[in-house]
Amino acid sequence: MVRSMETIATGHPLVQRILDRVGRCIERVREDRPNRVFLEIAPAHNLEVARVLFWDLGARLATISGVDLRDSVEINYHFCFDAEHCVVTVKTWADKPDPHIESLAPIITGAQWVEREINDLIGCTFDHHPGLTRLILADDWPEGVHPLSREYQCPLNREYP
Amino acid sequence: MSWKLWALKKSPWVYHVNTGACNNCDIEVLELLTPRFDVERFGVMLVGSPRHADALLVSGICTRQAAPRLQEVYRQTPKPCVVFCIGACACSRGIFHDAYHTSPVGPVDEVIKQVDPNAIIMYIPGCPPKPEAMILGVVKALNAL
Repeated sequence: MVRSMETIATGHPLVQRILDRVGRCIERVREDRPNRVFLEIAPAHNLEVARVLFWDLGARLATISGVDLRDSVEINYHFCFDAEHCVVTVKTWADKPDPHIESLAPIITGAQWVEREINDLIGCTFDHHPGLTRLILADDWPEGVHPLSREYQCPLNREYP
Repeated sequence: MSWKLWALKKSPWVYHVNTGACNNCDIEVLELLTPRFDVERFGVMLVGSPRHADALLVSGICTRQAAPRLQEVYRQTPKPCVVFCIGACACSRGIFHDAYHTSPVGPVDEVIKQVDPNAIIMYIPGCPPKPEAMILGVVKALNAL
């Protein structure tokens, strides 16, 4: 159920096509700049919205970005509609502590490594991921320490001048 | 001077190592080989194996995973060998001084000195250093040898 829509009247025609299919999952639509749409959804619906955008409407998953807000981890899925010149970002969140969210990897193979990177750096766990192992941190990096999370205190390197 | 050193100074063959750089210094190193600066007229050639190299051009802050690999590359380079630290990141880590995931040993020169305390290291600061600065650094290093 779309609760608030801003600039929907002058919005991109793509937005109406998305709302026709998954309007009940989307909580908020924002289009502050032309061709840049932000959809906010509840975390339980990310798989359904991603399936509609990727498989039904033919978008391209550009990347997934994670932001560590103090009490939750915000996950942004960036879908590019190259033919319509529009970028749609799907914003959702996973509550801390121990953030969990459904993985997109079973339906979008390209999301596998991006989710492994978010898991390494921010600490959000992706359920039903085919192989959530360490990707970019070193093998001798301690388990459970996530450098881009708010709790991480980077030790100052003062041993050498 | 020994004939090996004479050959090195006449035509230093370089091998490029990126230990975690943003690639800006790597692009500038590549520019040295383009016709504008053309270090090939000095005999500098980019080789594909450290075994053929006289000089190592190292860029980057030396991350945790890169440190043992950089040491292995240095061990495989036949001595005498000059290590050029290209850019602020390789000289002293620059703005990434206190970053996470960097090697606990230190920046590139500390990592090399852990293997060989008598290593010949030349520092070329800049972000990225101009190609003219790199050529000047190479010339100064070869004159000092």
